Amino acid sequence: MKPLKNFIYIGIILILQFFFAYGGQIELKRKLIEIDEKDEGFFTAIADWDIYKDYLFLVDNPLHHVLRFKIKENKVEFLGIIGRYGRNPGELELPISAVTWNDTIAIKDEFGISFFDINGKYKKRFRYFSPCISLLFINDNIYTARSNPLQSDLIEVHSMDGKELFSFGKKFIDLDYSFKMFSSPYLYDYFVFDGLLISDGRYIYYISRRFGKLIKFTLSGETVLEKNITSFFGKDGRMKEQENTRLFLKKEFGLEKMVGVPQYYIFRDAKVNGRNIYLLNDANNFSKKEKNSYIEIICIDKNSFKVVSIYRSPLLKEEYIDYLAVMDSQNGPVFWVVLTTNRGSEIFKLESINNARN
Amino acid sequence: MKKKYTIGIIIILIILAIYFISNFYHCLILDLTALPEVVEKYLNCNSRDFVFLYGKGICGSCPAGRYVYSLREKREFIFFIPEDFSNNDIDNLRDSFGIKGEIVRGDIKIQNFVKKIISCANVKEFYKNIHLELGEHGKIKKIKTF
Repeated sequence: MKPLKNFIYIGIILILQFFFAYGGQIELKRKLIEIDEKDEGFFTAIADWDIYKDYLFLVDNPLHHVLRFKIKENKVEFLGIIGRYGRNPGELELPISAVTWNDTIAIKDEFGISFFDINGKYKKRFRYFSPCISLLFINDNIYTARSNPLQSDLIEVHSMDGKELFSFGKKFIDLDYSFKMFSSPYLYDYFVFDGLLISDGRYIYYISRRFGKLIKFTLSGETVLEKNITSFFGKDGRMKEQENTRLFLKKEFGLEKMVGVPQYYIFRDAKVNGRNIYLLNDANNFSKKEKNSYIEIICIDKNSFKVVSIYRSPLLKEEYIDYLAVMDSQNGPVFWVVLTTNRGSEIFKLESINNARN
Repeated sequence: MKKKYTIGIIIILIILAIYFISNFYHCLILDLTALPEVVEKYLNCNSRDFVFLYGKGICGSCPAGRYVYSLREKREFIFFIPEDFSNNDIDNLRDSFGIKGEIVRGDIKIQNFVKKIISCANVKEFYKNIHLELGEHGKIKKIKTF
């Protein structure tokens, strides 16, 4: 009888631990953000976005500029355009990424990295040649996750004048570049180490999109913590990692015979806010071979890398998830997401149902 | 009748002349142009291959970048870059592609020379990179745009 009693006690303790450690699933209500485009504020395709203070920046790659909007409750209002097409100072060519720090926006394009103030006034630029996987701008320094087969470090740091200061983060997979799967070893590097750099201003987090590696670094490049997070995404995450290993790292598989490079992303986008890292799950469910009918945001503690809570909101069949932003409110985080719908790119605000009622 | 034939031949000759001039004029000009001093200097030091990176797409994943990457071990190659490259830009270029050859900032004379090569190569777009191979006495052996 005693063993049975112990078994019940242990069971209760485990269940309680689960509820305390993992806050459970939180339903989110979505609201379409109205975009006041005025005369020039329309966009074609969003390559990246950044929310800084109450400004929203949208990188329009085909139109070679960045759009600046003012955020108001459930609306954004067009303020102006940053950059114009060209190769001269203050001009942009196929911009792909934008990050803001200390009222300065850094924009990565074909040429390199250009700096503007948040009103769009050009400051300076430098040339950058390695394909840039992800970009961060902190303390007047540019941190890039780069793809460069000649270098063993994944992350390099430049001053705003383009001087390379230092590099860190040893590549966590040894690649055999003689494996002629891609036309360029830079592309091979790019696809394998595809991921995101995010920062809370004190630490930098690199998260691998295909292999689920999460690494926390200090700003000077020391590794603080690392973990594989694929299990947070359940069977789908594990299957995607296995498939990516087979496609990109096993020589017997002929990826060159496939049309395009498969995007079996474990997550789509990530942001750090307050105590947590928020991971926007990729809606393409590899294990079920179908698209999820919900937007899922997994919240993990940035110090322990443990799951804190999971947020969900409905996703329609014809919608595809692109980007995530997280903002604070009195009643918890408020998410902004960019979805590609049959009307083009649209921005939605997601907040917990209780929050929305308040 | 004879007069008609003569006019016909003259017209054909004029058309041929226009064709040859329009096609070979720029190369003729290039041949007649003296090499810029700095190119001449490297030529005298036995460098025969000159790469002018004045065009687009010098990134690792772009075709032009891939070509630069394939030349990285060629210590004898001279790479010319536009005047507005800063020292940091030059370091970034060298680090990105592992270029072992010399990287030289070109002046206005080099820029004009590049324009003449582009015209001779019959490339419509100015933003092209050039690999110029010179033979003995500075004679142009090969022009490759990328």
